Amino acid sequence: MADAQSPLYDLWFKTIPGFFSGMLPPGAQAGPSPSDAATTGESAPASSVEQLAGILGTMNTMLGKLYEMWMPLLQRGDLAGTSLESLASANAEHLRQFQQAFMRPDMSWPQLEAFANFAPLAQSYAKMMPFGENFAGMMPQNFAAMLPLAQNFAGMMPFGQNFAGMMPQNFATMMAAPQSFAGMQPFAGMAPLMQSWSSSLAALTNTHAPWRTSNPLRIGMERTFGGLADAFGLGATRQFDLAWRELLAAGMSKQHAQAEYLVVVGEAWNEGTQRLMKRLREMSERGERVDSFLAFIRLWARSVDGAMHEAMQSERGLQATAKVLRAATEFRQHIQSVVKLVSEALFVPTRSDMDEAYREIQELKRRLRRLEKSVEQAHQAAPAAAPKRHAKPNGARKAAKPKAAAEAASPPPNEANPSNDANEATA
Amino acid sequence: MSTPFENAQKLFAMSPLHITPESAMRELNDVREKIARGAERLGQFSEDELAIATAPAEVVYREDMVTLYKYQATTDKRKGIAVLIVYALVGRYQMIDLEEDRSFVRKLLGEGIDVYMVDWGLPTAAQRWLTMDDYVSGFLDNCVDVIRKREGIDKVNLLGICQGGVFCTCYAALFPNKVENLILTVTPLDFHGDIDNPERGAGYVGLWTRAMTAEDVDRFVDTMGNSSGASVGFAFLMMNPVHNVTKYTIDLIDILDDDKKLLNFLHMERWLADRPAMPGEVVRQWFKDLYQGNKLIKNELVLGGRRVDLNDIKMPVLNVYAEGDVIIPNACSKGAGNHFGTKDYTELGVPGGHIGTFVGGKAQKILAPSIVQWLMKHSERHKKAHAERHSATVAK
Repeated sequence: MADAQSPLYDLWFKTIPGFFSGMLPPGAQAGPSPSDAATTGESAPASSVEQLAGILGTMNTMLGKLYEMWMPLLQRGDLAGTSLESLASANAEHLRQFQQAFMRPDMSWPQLEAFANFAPLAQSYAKMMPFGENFAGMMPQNFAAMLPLAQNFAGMMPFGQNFAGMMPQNFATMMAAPQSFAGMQPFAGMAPLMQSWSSSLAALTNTHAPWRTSNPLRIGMERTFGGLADAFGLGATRQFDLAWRELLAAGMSKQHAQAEYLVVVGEAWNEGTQRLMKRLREMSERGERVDSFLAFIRLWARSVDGAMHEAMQSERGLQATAKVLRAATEFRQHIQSVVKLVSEALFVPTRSDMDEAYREIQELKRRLRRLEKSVEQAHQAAPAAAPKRHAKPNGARKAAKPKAAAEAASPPPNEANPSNDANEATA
Repeated sequence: MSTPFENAQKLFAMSPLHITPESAMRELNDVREKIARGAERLGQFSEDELAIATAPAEVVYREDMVTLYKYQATTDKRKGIAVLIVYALVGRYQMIDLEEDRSFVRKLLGEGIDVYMVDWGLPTAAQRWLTMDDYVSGFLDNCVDVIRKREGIDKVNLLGICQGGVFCTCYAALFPNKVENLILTVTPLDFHGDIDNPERGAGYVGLWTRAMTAEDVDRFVDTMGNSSGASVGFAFLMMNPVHNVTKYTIDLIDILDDDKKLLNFLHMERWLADRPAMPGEVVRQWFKDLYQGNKLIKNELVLGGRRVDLNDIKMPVLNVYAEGDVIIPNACSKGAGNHFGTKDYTELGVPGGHIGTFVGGKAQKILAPSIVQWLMKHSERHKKAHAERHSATVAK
């Protein structure tokens, strides 16, 4: 039993505070929850029972906060009036602002930081990203290792000091960024990272004015000295430069895809709140009453769940999901390229090396399995052949060579032709 | 002119929300007390109480991370019929023996069936190159051979669940001489069945996979290696994201005072949290060849260089689908009779969802007895015994 498979629980465990804080009235801010310590990685409980106990603790705090926030409205008897309407319109306004910010060609990440209401969604989303916790753990170490390399580049990089000066900053920011991932504050934590990346990317893609001026110089330097670097066996530096630039671009694409996805989620969230309002009006007309806070939360959850379900299964939702996955795996591919270059430079086995070893081991196991099978079949066939051996002792062994063993001796179709099905899938 | 207080009173009267500060405080206190009691209770459960899959079984074969179990018989009135249950890779086999009184395995044992079960184990990065063919023509074939030898039989009865049903279908087509009867439960056969017959809210994984391109799938496998258990679980959770949050919060509060319900919840959660990773190459084939290419039903699926032709499945087939299945839409699992080579094809609808079919109280009363009844009718050994009894009567 692998209770260590806690990421599944973790996901929800970390979503729950956001779920409740998302229900606070407009303007209200949820205070730090005692469970925050448990949601930031290292101190996360190990077993499912402990995690559920942790969830209950979180709920206890968040429900208290929720009641506390809603109490003034209850005391004013204004629960169903302007407050709910303003909650719905605040959701819509946040969504509008988010879309506006997203649609801007020079998307300003600090602006996105302001969208606290989207943070819970973004938090759970960041957790779901394929690179997840590995990324958070891996990046600081890798960047720490890469930092001295980057400083060494100063003397040899085609665009010299600018890039070398920029790299340590980027690394320093990125070393901090994964901590933010682990702390589940993606927008807030990613803002400085994105700023740094944006400016790096702007410089590297020639949209930055000073850089444009120096571009001919860069090209000249690259043409003159790049070849020299290669000649001295320093080609990896140029490859690294290219891989790094591609990584930055892939990172931006991923952020765009995530933002698009969040717009779909945000719209569904908003639609869910509107449906809740409609439902409450209908209940009012039918003379039905809700006299429990938990029942009210259930109504809200049902409305949002329905809207979310439809949005995620709509063509647009599916495309947004596919786009996020595409962008995230491309980003991961570029991370792996950078790590590969660094690993090769340091003579450390790369993932491809490991994969290749695993592949060969698997192929050997396959052959062994076939061989064992044919030997067993040969043993089974032996008693049947035994009487013949008595009649013709000299030639019997050859004649009784089992067909299965003969088949095993010749390579199966997938070995004979590397483009066959089994290998095609892995090509 | 109304005062603000009167306005508030009017609004309160008009609103369906009748939550007063006093009732809210009372509710909060009640909930907090319940949470405190529940948290304490959670800490008191012993490992024995939390254990799942407790039906006694012996290991009869091991290969890599794969284990073949044989469950201990629970009755003397055995029917002399052995069944090999093949579960999916996306979850652990324990689901079919979740609790003593919600156990598909125990139901079969109670009916006098000899039950074998293959546990696919927990693949690691080293297993990322395992293909569907490794599972079907490798592990599964070896398990079948072990059973044939132990039981002294030529053919076995295969019972596949979901993805395991697909593996069994492929096996029955590739090794028809080793399969006596094929039983499929909640098994996707026509992966595109829901395109023409969409079922609202069902088949999210299929929709999601078809929204990706073949290159997306390749890149996913190339960069991720295995698909982690958490990512597999996430795909299921995303079918009802908000519901899955309330499940761990307000719905959990409701059952905190009820030990039986709380333990049911914890057992199911234990199973859910124990999702194995799926080998990368299986993911690639599963998504590209099946979800995207729908090659199984088209007889185009190729495993280890051999084409899987459903026409080669000439043994009797029982296809059980869950009427409320939202993971595998009914349109993907039923109505596949004319694709098989057999003329002896039976379909059975069971109440409940994809998992509820095996753990739900209502389904429990139908599923295992129906399967056993069908097996009795189709078992060679029983047919022979029946024929012998018949001829003895005629001779008299």
